[in-house]
Amino acid sequence: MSRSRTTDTTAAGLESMAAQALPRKSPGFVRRLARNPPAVAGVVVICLAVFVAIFAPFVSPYTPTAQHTDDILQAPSGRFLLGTDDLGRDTLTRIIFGARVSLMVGVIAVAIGLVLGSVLGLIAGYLYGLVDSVIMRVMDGLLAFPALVLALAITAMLGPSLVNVMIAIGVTGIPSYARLVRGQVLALRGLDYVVAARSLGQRPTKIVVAHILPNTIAPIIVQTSISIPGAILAEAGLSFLGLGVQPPTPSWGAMINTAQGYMLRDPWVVIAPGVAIFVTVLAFNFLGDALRDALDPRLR
Amino acid sequence: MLRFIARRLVALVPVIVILSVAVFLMIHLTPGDPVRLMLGDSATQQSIAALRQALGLDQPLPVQYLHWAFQAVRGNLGRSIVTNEPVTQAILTRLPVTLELSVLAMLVALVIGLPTGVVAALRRNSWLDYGSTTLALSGISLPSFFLGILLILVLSLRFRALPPGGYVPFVTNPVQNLKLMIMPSLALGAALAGIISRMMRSSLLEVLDADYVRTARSKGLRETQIVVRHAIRNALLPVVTIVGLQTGTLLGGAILTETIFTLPGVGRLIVDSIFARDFPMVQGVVLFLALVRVLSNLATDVVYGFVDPRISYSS
Repeated sequence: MSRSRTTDTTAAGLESMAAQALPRKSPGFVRRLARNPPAVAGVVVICLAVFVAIFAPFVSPYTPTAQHTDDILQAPSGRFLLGTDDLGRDTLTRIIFGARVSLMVGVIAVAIGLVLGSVLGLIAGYLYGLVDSVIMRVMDGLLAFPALVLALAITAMLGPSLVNVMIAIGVTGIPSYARLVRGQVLALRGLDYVVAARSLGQRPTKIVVAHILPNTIAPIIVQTSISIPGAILAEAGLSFLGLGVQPPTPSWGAMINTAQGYMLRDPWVVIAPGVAIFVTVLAFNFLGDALRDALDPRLR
Repeated sequence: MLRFIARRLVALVPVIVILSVAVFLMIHLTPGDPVRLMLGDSATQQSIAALRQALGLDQPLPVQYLHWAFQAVRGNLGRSIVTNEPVTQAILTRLPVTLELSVLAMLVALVIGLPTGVVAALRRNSWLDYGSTTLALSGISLPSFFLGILLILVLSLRFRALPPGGYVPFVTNPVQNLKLMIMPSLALGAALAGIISRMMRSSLLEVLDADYVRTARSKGLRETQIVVRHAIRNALLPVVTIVGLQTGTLLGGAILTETIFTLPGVGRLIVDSIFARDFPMVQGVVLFLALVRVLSNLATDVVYGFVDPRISYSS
């Protein structure tokens, strides 16, 4: 009887330890973010960009490929708020539709890196030993490539297209997530609640998914907030070089590339998409900075 | 220290093997027949077979890799299929341009990044701090190619103060060379200036809060003396790491800058080679840039050991 009670008590203790693995939301997190004016400005700009991207056909004055042949290279006016390009297409409309491409690449490319990198990091950190060594050496090999060079090499192999740009940028993000998550798992795997879960006979998959993964979320969020603007810049760079999104699909980087030839005559065609990239990336960087501060326990 | 460097060099071997395998496989992961892609649709069966044999693509994959890796170790990265120029020679001819651009960009980044970071930390939460932070984040957020175009638009096309592009070697005409390199260096260095500024600010804030700074203050040392002699010197340590780690990235970033300013560097070489479907050249340049990054990271580790007396490599 007594023995059974002891077992129950131990099991309850272990259960409660294992339950500690659940992430606790800090009540001050949102308040800390809200008190940071650049972060608020960042959130507003990001929400606006997402809204505009989703409802592009409804909020843009024209279609992105509509050519107004009598209004080529027009300066901003009441009819064309940001002017027109060399084919008479409305710049504002193309910027609005370009937001779709930039945000889509930003989110999907980062998601590719996040999912694959996190899975590899979890496996490496939890299994440790030979598996860890092999995975991390491959990650070190990938990290050796400057990100833009690796993305260029992959698009050179696969050919320029929207999907291939996402793959190329996504692959460059895998090692950072793998290293980040592996580090977190190594720090967590010896903690009491993980040992407790293991002692209770929980399967490794359950331990990883239910107890370890939730506790790696904070650094993953911060890394993601840094990665998205990086991906947007990388897409713009690849499209600027002509190795990203192909015409006539509007992309901010490609718009700058094609507008270079007549930027003296009509600077707006270059400046408008450049400012769109700058403002969007700056908004993500403001938010990323604030998230890093808000989620850093030392700064609370 | 020597043992540490040797250990790091040994640890680099698997990394270099993996990245060489990745670079080697580039040509084989291309959808379709890479030789047909390189030669175009008008290629004859004979020319396809000849190039396949010349590139060794008719051999089994492991044999191809070993042959390629053995030649690469000897500095032979093959020949361009467009110009027939040896890849190594093409890289070495263009390397001085990229190196000069990277060094000048790094100088620009340090000259802008360090003072703004120090001012932001010393005037924490003031308008100077907010202004410096905004400037730093703007530098990080501004695409280098867009900044480059803005510089050309304003300084070259509007005010005709600087030439919009091209290259003259420093030894041929130093003044013209520097005139041509001002805008590319600014465009490439702006993002790094932002990173250095942010790093310097947070590092200096941490140091200013340290016990030894408090002790120095309680001993009655002047604030300038504390900041210059004690705080900044120690706060520079993490910045050294960032500067070192960014060296390889700068070489990669030079791709866009060299394209805008028509600089005949390694970055421009890779872009031109991609468009020409010159895969041996692309492979060679990618391998070279990756190796430069690996070695610059190693050099950063070693330099860090010299500048930080707390680090002991013997244990």
